[in-house]
Amino acid sequence: MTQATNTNTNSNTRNGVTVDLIGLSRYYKDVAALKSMNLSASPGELIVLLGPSGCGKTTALRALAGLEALDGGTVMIGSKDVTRLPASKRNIGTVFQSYSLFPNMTAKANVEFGLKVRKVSSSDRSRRSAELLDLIGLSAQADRYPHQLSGGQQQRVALARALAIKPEVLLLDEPLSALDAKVRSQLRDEIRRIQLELGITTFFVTHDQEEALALADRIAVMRAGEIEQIDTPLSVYSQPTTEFVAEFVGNVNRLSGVLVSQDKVEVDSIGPISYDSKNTPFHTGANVQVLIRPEALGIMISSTGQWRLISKSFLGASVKLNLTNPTGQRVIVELSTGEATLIEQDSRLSLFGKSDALLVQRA
Amino acid sequence: MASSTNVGESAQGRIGGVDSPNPALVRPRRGRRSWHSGIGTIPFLVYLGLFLVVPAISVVVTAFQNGAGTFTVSNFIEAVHGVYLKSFINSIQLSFAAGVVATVVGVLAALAVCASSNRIVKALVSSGSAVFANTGGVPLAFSFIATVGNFGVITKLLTDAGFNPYDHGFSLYSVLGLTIVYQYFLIPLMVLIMIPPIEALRKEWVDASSSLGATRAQFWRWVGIPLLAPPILAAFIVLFTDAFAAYATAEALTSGTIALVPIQRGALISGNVLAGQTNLGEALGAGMIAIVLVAGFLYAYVQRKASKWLR
Amino acid sequence: MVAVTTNVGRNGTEPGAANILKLGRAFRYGILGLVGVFFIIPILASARFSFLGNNNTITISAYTQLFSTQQFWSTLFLSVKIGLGTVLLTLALLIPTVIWIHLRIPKLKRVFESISLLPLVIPSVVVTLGVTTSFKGLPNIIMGTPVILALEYVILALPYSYRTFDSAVQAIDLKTLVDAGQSLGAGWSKLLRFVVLPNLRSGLLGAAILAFAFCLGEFAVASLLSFTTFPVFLVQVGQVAASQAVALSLIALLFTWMPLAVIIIIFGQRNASSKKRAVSLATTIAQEETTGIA
Repeated sequence: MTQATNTNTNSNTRNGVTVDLIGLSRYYKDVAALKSMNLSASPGELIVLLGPSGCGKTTALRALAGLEALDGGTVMIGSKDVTRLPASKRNIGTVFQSYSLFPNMTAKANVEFGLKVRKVSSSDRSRRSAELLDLIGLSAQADRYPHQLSGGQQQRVALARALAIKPEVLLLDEPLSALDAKVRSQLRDEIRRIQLELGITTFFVTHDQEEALALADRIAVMRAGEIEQIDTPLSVYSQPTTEFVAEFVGNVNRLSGVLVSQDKVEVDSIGPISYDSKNTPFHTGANVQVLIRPEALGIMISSTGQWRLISKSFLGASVKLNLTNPTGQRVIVELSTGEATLIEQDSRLSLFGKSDALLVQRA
Repeated sequence: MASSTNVGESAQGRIGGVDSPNPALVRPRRGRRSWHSGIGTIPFLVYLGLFLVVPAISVVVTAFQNGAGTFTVSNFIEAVHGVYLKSFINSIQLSFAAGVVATVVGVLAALAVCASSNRIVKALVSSGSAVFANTGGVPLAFSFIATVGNFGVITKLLTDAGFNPYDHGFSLYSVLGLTIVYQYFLIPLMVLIMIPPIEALRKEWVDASSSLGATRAQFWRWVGIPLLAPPILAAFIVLFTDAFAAYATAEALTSGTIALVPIQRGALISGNVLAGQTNLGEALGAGMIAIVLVAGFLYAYVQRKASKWLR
Repeated sequence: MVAVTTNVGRNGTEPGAANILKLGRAFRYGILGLVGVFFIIPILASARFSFLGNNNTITISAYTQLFSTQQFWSTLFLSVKIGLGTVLLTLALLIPTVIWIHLRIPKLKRVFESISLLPLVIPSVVVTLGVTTSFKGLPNIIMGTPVILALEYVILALPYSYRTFDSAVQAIDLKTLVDAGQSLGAGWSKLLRFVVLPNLRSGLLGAAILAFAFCLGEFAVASLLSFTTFPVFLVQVGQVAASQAVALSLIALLFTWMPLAVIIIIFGQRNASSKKRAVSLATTIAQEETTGIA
């Protein structure tokens, strides 16, 4: 990308706006897709709506875009109430899951569509589309039809098309879910780069926790039409407020133990594990269930260890170990690849807590 | 034995297969397609050659012969004169009018069906269309005679009400009448052909266009109509040829009172009145093939122009 | 050449047509209602016409007279015979060909589909005399008998039968099925008998019924070749007795519609589950095979 177009693109975009979703509700017959959902985004922020299918994340996004009617609530963009505005008047760019490019138009024509609708002169349109195709690195493919582009290229064009209208807000509805793993992570990084460059307030819907952790300024984990937790990726991962969040964002081991002090649990067959005790509702001596991440456990080889290895799966930089003990408990531990080479099939192992448990709850 | 590489290949094809095969994803074909890979289709092709191509060629050949078997173009000259010319004109007019009416009504009906979210209506219309599209021939003609023929039930009702359509220029046994009767199988055919492409219009396209600021009319102008035009055109050509070749209905309704190509031809070749008449009949047949071919090429040409994006 | 379907985008996430079109209720039901009336009136009128006696009495004499006509039964029998012959020939031709194409030359699928549409391009009226002139030399047992009709009907019904069978094969992912069967040790004959054909039952039935219905309704070729089949008899009756002809037409329409309705119901019920069913069936059969050997 040349310096010139770069500045040009920047000069075309204002800094992001705030977006406020207030009490959004949506019902399909008796089923609530959104239950009075509240969410505020600060200017230029990238918020990921994360959750399993049917949690209402797409409904929320579509309501923001104006593509879905609401049964209640208010959508504010900047200081403007857009709840009653149709999608075509909201000036929001949307990238859909896939196949949203108009098949009868070339990449260039797709990018220019929103401008053509706005009656922008054809020379200005060409300039703008050239700029955007350059931004997404597809200048050479400008005259191709969608079916002549790969899935990743199609989604890039869709992004360029959404950005062409200089939207105040950018929405992405699982834009990477139909792509191969490699293309997916590449394009993910690119989307983030462009988003930061333009400083545009962005909402990104996905069910892929890895994607959410990699992209977001903040993640809103959704379940059954409500936001279960909204926080930075790090906090959502390391300090989930609910069991659902803990399990949805990453892997967890579920172990039983006894609370020995307000910030320590004695976990069966493992030993003491600390945790961050903000207002624990339990008293010392209570039986509790402990949720702990695979990488928060450490392994020692010891002749008195009760744990044995069942299987290893190699993940690249780390290795996932499946362990069991004579009582039939199962635990997953994730170690760096170097550490894991020491663990052998017949090793006797003992476990210990390397870092804090995620959650402690009633057994 | 099927080789395993081909499985991967078909799976690859499917990834990009929604818009149509995606060149970026399709691996260059490694396999050698030798002559014997086509061997299993030989019986089929031979049968087709024997019972379709040979007769068709013999029609063309005979068309260039006189009764004695020597070469001549006089059959064609005669075929474009007098009653035969008239029959070509009538046939084309009839097929064109019937095709246009059925296209308009059929597209509207298909749109109405697709716009309905009522599953029962959808199922009823699409299965009904499949059934009616295969109606035709003599029974159809007779049921219309019973309806709006000289002594038909509706004719009688109207006459009793003081309006005899036959006194006001209407006749079932005319080009107009045939146009109406043909709708009975052409409209359902159109509905049948148009439902898939209309259903294939994606919600994402509408969503994308409205989030880009387009009105519904703009969506139709720049996306919807360009996408539907090729299938509509294709369907029209199908209807045209279908109407053009229809013989039984026309024969049963008009018994030769209107000059239409298929009927003239039928009379010539089954009459066997004079030697040489069959050759003239064949010239008419060759003319029919020619017209259908022209329609086909026209279709291919316009399709090519209208749908660059499909290739 | 006349490819009717387009590639605008099959098997989408959800067909959005209902949302896209947003046509007014009045418009939708208005159109469908009018078209529906157009289709029902001739049937009702025919029914009324066929039951109409002298002085507006109701009578079934048109039907009783028909059924007592010897020719009614003989022509019907002839048409049924021709129909069965056509069906057998069609299946014998289609099954190996289509399966071969899907397995060995899948790239030519579209080409063959277009070839199967050729009979639409060359009108049947045209083919007919071509047949008589080119096959003058054939033995009388073929040319002089309705056998020639069956031979020709196979061709003329091809656009319908081929597509039906072809799309049934398309729907089951034949290649995977055959690979699965072969990898589990099934030989070709068992594969065909236990895996492929059972999965194509509805497709075969569909093709057969369409071909049969075609034979029962075909008039042009039969009349031009001077065979008195059922439809030809119908026209002859029409020239002498109007109400009998209309009654006969109703019967004939029902004859074509009923089998078609049957196919549509069968095809409607298939669909989503068929692929899964096919694969699981292939596994079961192959298991049966291996246990049989062991």
